[in-house]
Amino acid sequence: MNEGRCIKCGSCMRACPVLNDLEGRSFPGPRTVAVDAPRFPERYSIGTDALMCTMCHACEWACPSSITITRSMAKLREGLVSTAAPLPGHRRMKENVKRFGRTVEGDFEGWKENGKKTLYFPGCIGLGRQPEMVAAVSHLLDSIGIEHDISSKAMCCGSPLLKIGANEEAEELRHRNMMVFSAYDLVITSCPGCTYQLREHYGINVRHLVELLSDRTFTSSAEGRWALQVPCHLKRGLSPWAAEDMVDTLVKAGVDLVRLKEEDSCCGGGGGLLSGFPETSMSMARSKAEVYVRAGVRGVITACPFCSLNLRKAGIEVLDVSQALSWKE
Amino acid sequence: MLVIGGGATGAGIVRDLALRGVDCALLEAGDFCHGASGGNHGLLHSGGRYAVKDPSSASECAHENTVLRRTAPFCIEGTGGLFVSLPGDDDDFALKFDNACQNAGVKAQEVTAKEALSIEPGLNPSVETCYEVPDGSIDPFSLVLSNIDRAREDGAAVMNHCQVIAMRMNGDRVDAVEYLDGRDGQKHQVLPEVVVNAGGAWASSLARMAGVDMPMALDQGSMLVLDGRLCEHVINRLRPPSNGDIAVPNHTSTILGTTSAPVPSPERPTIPVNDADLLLREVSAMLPGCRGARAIRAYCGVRPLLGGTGGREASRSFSIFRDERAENLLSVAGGKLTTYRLMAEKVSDQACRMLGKEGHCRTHLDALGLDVPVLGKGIALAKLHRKYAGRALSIPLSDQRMICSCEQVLRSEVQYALEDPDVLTMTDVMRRTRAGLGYCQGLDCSLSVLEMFVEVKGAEALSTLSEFLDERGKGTSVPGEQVRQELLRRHLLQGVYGIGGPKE
Amino acid sequence: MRRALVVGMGASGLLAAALLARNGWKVTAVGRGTPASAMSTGCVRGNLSTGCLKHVMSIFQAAGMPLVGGDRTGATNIGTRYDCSLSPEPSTWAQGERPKSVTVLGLDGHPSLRPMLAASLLNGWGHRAEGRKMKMKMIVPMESSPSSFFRSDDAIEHLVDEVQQCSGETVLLPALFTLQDHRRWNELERRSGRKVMEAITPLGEPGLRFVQVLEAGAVQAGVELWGGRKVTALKTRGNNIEAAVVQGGLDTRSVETDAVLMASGGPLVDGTLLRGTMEDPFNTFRMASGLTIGNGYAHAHGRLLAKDGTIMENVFGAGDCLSIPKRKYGQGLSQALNDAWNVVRDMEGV
Repeated sequence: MNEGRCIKCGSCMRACPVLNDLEGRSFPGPRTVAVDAPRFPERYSIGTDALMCTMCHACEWACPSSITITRSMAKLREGLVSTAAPLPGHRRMKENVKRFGRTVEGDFEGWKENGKKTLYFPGCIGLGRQPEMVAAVSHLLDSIGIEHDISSKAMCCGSPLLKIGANEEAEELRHRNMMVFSAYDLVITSCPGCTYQLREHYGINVRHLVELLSDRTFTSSAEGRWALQVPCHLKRGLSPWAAEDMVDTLVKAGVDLVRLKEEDSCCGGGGGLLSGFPETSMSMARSKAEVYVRAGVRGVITACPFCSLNLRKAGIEVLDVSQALSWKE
Repeated sequence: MLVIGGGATGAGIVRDLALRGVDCALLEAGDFCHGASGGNHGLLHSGGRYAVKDPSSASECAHENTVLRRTAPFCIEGTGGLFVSLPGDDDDFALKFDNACQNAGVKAQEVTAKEALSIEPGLNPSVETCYEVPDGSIDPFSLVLSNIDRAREDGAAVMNHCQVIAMRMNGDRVDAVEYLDGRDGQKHQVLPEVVVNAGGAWASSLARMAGVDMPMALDQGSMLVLDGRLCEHVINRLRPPSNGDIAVPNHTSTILGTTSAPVPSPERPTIPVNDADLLLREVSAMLPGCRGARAIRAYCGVRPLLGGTGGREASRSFSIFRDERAENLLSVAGGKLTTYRLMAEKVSDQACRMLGKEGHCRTHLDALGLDVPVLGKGIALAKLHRKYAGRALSIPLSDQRMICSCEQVLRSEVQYALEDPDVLTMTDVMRRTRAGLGYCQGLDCSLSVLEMFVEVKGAEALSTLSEFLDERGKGTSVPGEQVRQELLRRHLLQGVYGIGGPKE
Repeated sequence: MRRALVVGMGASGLLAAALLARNGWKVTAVGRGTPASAMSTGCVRGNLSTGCLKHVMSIFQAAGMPLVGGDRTGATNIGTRYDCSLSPEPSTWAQGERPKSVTVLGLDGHPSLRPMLAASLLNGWGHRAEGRKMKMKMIVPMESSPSSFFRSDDAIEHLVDEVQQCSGETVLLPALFTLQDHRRWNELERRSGRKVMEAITPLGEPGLRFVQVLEAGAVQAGVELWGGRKVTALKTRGNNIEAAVVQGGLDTRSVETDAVLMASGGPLVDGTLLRGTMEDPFNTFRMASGLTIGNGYAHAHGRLLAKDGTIMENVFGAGDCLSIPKRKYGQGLSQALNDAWNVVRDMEGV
């Protein structure tokens, strides 16, 4: 860990969307939780306030000392949860995973188990809350010739559990998922959180949908002016190039895109905030919604089910990339 | 009775005297812990370090260690300690150590290297002979302040920022003691029956005001503060006392110590340029992690040793000194922070006899601070007890905004400190609250504290800040990562605000 | 078309990148973390060369945040005096425009402007100043930038109200607005009928705005900005750099180039490393020895030197990462901008 490099410039604090949210008052901020607290024997006195981080990496990007703040935040949270009871929302999440392998319930019926060499892994939110997005991704993949399975045996990628320090449960999931993934040459995801988890912690060949689109040309039926919600975990976690590819693909497809400075700021959905601190999560989503409303756009296009979920709750029309594009023959 | 000197010794004496019902006062030239009590490595001795060379000091430490843990637990981290030898260290010494500890009553338990590594994973894996001892880490300022609090509660008048400048003699008695009050710049007088000189490194010059020659050897020890707790126990080298043979975890840092070199004057000398490197090198042998750690500060203290040649060979035991030329002046020198209470007891016994009072010491029994429950969520609240003992309950917690992020200090704490008549300077605030002691050395908090100073005390801003920056500036030139911090500090303070730095 | 890779997206890198692109180069600028210029006051203290000054002023004019030149003075967010040669309009006054009476209106306990301290210091250097704490409906955490809390029309209403209650002729405010919202300044003055000034503030919005303007200028000139990425290795052939390995997130890519401009900054921003002495993170270039503020890459006529002392053919340097004989604290911006202006000339020779 490299927290010892801090020079107190405050850049991380100024970049933190939770700390700068109008409701985010009790969050001690990335520096206090992830950089300073690890020094103190009393560090876990912070309590569950440390769980208010969305793991958006904005602090990491801002840090001039190259401190891996988000990683340090995860480590502190790991120790925290092992000494204290998780929040009700987090407890529910853990129970769901234990009961049926995913963080949220939902009767998904679009399974495809045809022995293909590519697996589309929609993730818990996609399967549980956004079946229309899953269908759109699957359709898009088919249209560009990527035949794929959608396996009922694949479970939660484990990322939400890791973010609340439930390491053992996450490892158990990884173990069971690997038995499914090992039958495939490529795993495709539609959630950047899953993509990061699978690439970093499973070490398999995985691509987020937007990483497969830049070589091809698409059209768009999305009418009117749209802005973007560039997902944190895509741009700052996985790859800033992938985020740029996402934008390029949409522009090439003729989407009338309005570029906004705030397009890559956190929607409030990540890091367990949605289930752990729903009021703060919604406050952040509403702040983003205000920006989009002020920009006079019809809605936003994104590539993350958490962003979709949270922004829709805040009253914004959201399209997933897969719903905004169709392949041009 | 007048006690001169507000370090551990003086504070302990005034506390003891007040508890015995003696009408007493204390004058301290600077802030409490101005001398050696404010420049040591915060070790609660088990006695192990003195067992071989200075067994009487060792016994004293062993006994007082238990007393302090019982009466002042709030300012002590019961870390425990280890003595470890490395390949090439004198094997004989280990045996001497074992015997000496037994004879002196120091609880030293031999453990295998494997056991030592399991309780202290950061140790050099090549450690050979290891002993576990009841060393601890103590917060000297909190300790001293609790003595002062108790003394005041029992009726003593205690004043800091009051420097004794002269003594008027009447034959062989000190008739009057003149002092300069830093608050109003005025001279005042005290007419004591007995004067206790607990001036530490200044004891000799104080005695001279009464025409008494008191031979002392002043010895400087340097310490290096590393950011982060690199060990959970106090780590000592199992070899004859030498430079760089100890590491003490203290709050959020690790203090490496120490050196020993004679100095001519009690005013804090500059830290010799090579001491930081020496300490890092030597302690890294026991704790390899030190090499990669960030040094944030170097500081030193001057040990007030008794006469003779000083250095490592001089006894750390204490002595009470009285000369017929000033028969009501009782001077004390030597000693350790750990044995302050015992020194205070002996001095108070003698002082009381001089006054014809009976008085029995109770300081080994009475608690120095109340137990305080944890006051809420957050690191700042969890730390209040260790810094303030029972006074933590008096700090209004209405404003829980953080003012110092390195040490997690609340604005309320600084407000509380500013309302204290003892507090005149920013470093006074720093000592009480720990704001400014962390790795950024005041970059983040100094301007916020300054603002509160101006608001609450109506102080003049630039001179108030300069005092603090000068004091911090004395120890911030340490090699390594800290240079980046210094760069930012200078860009901000000198570059943007035009404060400090060389005048063009 | 010649390709240039600019390492570092601070003032030096961004200005040079834009100039190179304007001159027909295909430019990619790579940078990560907050650069030192974004931590600065956003005001220039040393003197810029004529060409550089003119160009910088035009960039800021185009961005809607014009800079004013000449001998100007402002008050910092703690109330000390700040003299500079180039500053945003609301931050400084010229000789004859000295504020007569000032109310320092800040957020309680917030570093963006410390009203009681600043008023006390302002009175010390000849102003009639009083401090006043803004009454806020919500708490602005002291580590936050206040800009999030002063975006809405409601918030501006409240601000106008607060300003109107100040007795001073001039009201000194913290740096409250982002680049986008910067025109609120005019609105504030118009509606309050007062002279409203912005305190000169390090580590806050002014520095950020400064860099954002330069970023916009670079984008407009056609520079490809690769933020959040760092160059981890350089591929050399003889005394030429052929390509660079760039890492961002979990991804790593390679970029070929004809010339490299090192504008990576000093040890403050990890441009050069501290390991006993200052070192080059790429282990390729020679460093001036020692560990003082003026040290960095050794260079000759703008070109960096290889470790063995030979001159790199296609590697140039600008800004804090360069070794210069004497560097003063607080004067980095002018150095960075002048360097960028000059080095582009040197690079034309490639």
